[in-house]
Amino acid sequence: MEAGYRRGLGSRIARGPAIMVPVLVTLLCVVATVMPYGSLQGIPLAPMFPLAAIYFFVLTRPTLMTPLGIFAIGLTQDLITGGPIGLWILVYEAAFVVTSMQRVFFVGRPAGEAWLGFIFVVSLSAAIIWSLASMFYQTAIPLVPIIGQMMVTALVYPLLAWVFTFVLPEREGGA
Amino acid sequence: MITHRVSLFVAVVIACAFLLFDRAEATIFERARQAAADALSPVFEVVSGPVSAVRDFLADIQGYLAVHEENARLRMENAELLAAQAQARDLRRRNERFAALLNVQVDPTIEYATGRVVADDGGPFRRTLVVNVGNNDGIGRGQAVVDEHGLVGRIVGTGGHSARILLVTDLNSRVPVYVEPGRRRAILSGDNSDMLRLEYLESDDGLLPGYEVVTTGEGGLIPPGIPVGIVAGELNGIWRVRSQTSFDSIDFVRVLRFDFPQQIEIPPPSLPGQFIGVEVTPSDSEIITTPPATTDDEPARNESDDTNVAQPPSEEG
Repeated sequence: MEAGYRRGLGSRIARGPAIMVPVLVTLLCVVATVMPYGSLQGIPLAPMFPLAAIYFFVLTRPTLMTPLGIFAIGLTQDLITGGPIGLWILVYEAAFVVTSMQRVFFVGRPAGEAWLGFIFVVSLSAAIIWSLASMFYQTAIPLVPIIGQMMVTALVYPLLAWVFTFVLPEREGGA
Repeated sequence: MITHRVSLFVAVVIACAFLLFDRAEATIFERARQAAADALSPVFEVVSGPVSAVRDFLADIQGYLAVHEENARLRMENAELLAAQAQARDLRRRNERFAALLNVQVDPTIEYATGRVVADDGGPFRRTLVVNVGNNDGIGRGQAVVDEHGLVGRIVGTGGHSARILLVTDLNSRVPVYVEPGRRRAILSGDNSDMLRLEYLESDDGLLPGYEVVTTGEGGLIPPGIPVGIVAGELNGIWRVRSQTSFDSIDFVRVLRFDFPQQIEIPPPSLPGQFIGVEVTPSDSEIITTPPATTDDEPARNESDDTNVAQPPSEEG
């Protein structure tokens, strides 16, 4: 067991930057999210790129998207968006837990089913965002912008997933 | 797997602790927030260029689709503006006369820095923007931000090369305003929608849609007289204000480097009839220092606006 662990650690170090790809790509998604796309009737037009990336990489490369990596992603988003620190960490960690639990159902299944799973994760994330932000600001924040942004995110997920496949690192021990 | 569970638990605990600390002491993470925005501002600046171009293109398409409605609105607005222009000329003439009579010193010109919006919060529960001007350009917390239509928001965080604007539409925004005509005081608050709320309105007797909403200058952060929007109507017992600014596509803004007058000179009683503003040597005068409001998200204070106005001394003896 110990030898196996050592082999695993050695191979991870040898793979170097490849194991960082999911977290780095998701961090780029955080930057992409805060670009000034504007809004439509108060609904932000920017999809939640990081949520889509986390879902995709947890499904496809679960060993490379860890809770600590997600912590770094959430903290980065909290800092650069100027919002309550900790909110996006909690949202993304919850998405990680739910996606990890769903993973067994979606491995080897058609992409359309993974999309349905993502819609579930997005809905849950919307509920968490609304609850935490309302508690933080001690008022019921408007639901429409949250639902609107989550719908945009769910709609563009297939396109984003297709883009993410181009940066998907090989599995440990070969493709 | 066990390692994952432990790290997940630790991450969640730390995140909860962060949220609690942030709630209890809002400024605790401010420096970290601004450092992050500042560090990434060159990236934002490079990437936001093409994004803004695409956004403008989409806005143009939207504009073409709404051209008939827009045309009708503009005709109506033009008619109103012509009437308002005549009224404004009359008011200007009267104001010049009053100014000459009272020997009121004209306020020093407010300096400003122009910045481009390079990022927004990207989230559904905040209304903030990041601009590419910061401390190095003389930008400070609390300064008002305007565009060509009026007040957009105010600065809530600054770094060397960037600053964060809290939009007037944000849930946490509170701006003391007057509704004109009638000079009714109110607090203009945001609720994350594009329509602003008039709260603590002094009186809504005779209040009509179309009335103008301007800043009072109370609190010393935002200069008085900046237009904020137009009264749109009443909804569920709350008067709503529509800003002329399109918050969906703000690109360039001006940050007003407004300094609230902190020292009020009171002439000695031996100079009856002399008005404030006439040169008085420091040795002859008493100086009162009034600290400007510095806290963010602070509701309007109950101080009278008259504290900003120079009063003639009462005659003694």
